[in-house]
Amino acid sequence: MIDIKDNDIIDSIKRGNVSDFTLLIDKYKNRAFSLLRRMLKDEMEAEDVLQESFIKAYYALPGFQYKSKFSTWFYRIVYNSALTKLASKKRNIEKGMSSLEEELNLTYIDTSDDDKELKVWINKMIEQLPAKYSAVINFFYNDDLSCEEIGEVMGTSVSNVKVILHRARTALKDMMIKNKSTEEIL
Amino acid sequence: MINDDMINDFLDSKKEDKDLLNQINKSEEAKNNFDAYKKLDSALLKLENYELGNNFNIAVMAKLKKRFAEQKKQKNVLLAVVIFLGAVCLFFTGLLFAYVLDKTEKVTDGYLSQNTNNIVDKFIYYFKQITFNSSLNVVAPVLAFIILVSAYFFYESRRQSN
Repeated sequence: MIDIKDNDIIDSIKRGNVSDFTLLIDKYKNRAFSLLRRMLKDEMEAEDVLQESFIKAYYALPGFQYKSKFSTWFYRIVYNSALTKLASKKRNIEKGMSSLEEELNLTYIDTSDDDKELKVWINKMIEQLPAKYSAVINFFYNDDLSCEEIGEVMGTSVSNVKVILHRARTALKDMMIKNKSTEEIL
Repeated sequence: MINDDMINDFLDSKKEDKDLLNQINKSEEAKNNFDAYKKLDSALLKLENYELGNNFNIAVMAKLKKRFAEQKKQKNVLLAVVIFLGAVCLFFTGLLFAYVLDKTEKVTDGYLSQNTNNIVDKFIYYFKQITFNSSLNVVAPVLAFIILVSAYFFYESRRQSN
């Protein structure tokens, strides 16, 4: 498959070739869906929010100035849409460390025989984290974004991104240690 | 003393730090902690995407097409409203002109012909007469109400579609 640059696709869409938008959808749907699933913890909601995010992105494309990468710009739309969705559901997304620790103390991941696959196990662990922590882990490991890029997407400072990343990683490590069957999986 | 922040910084940088590794190897507790972090880090590096089928593309494009159709419909509604209001304005302006011309022809003597010499003054004079007319006093608020209600529903439909 020919690797067409994002900016060329965007130029084509701006010229009126609406069908070229499917190229962008194909390129980013799985990564954005992974982010949303990990943030929203619900497959159907994640799909709905992603559809809306793509539509928002389409209508916002004329204002895209090529100053940042399309991926960063699009992730910002997806991330903010997820936060809006969470806020509308009145979920508490701004959990402090104390509440995170309380939550993690209650956590026990049941890794039954069928679930003893690394992919399932790690996703289950990430699902235990608050939305922002899941998002940072997803950006850093799944999308290979730098802390600077994550900060740009989330609209926060690099130091804040690092704090969230460290806390998320430490929380996951603690969960891993608590879970006796972890050693077998890893 | 090796703490979690130092290990996290090490994992963030993705670079080898021999000094840190030497310090970690000196303590059994630090080594166990570091190993746990390393295991987690390598597991997270294998993190995979959830996948969506081609139906997703179709669904998004269908939604976009639906939005285009809605926008087109809204544009038509806007055009219809503008044409309607324009027609109403033209109708009343025409009515006023007809009234002015009719009166101008009929009145040759008297107050009007003595005091007004041009069509603008006559127009203002008859406009005042019409606005003080009791039938127009009823029609105008009704028309204004209809326009306001139409504007409200139009604004609401725009807001909801956005």
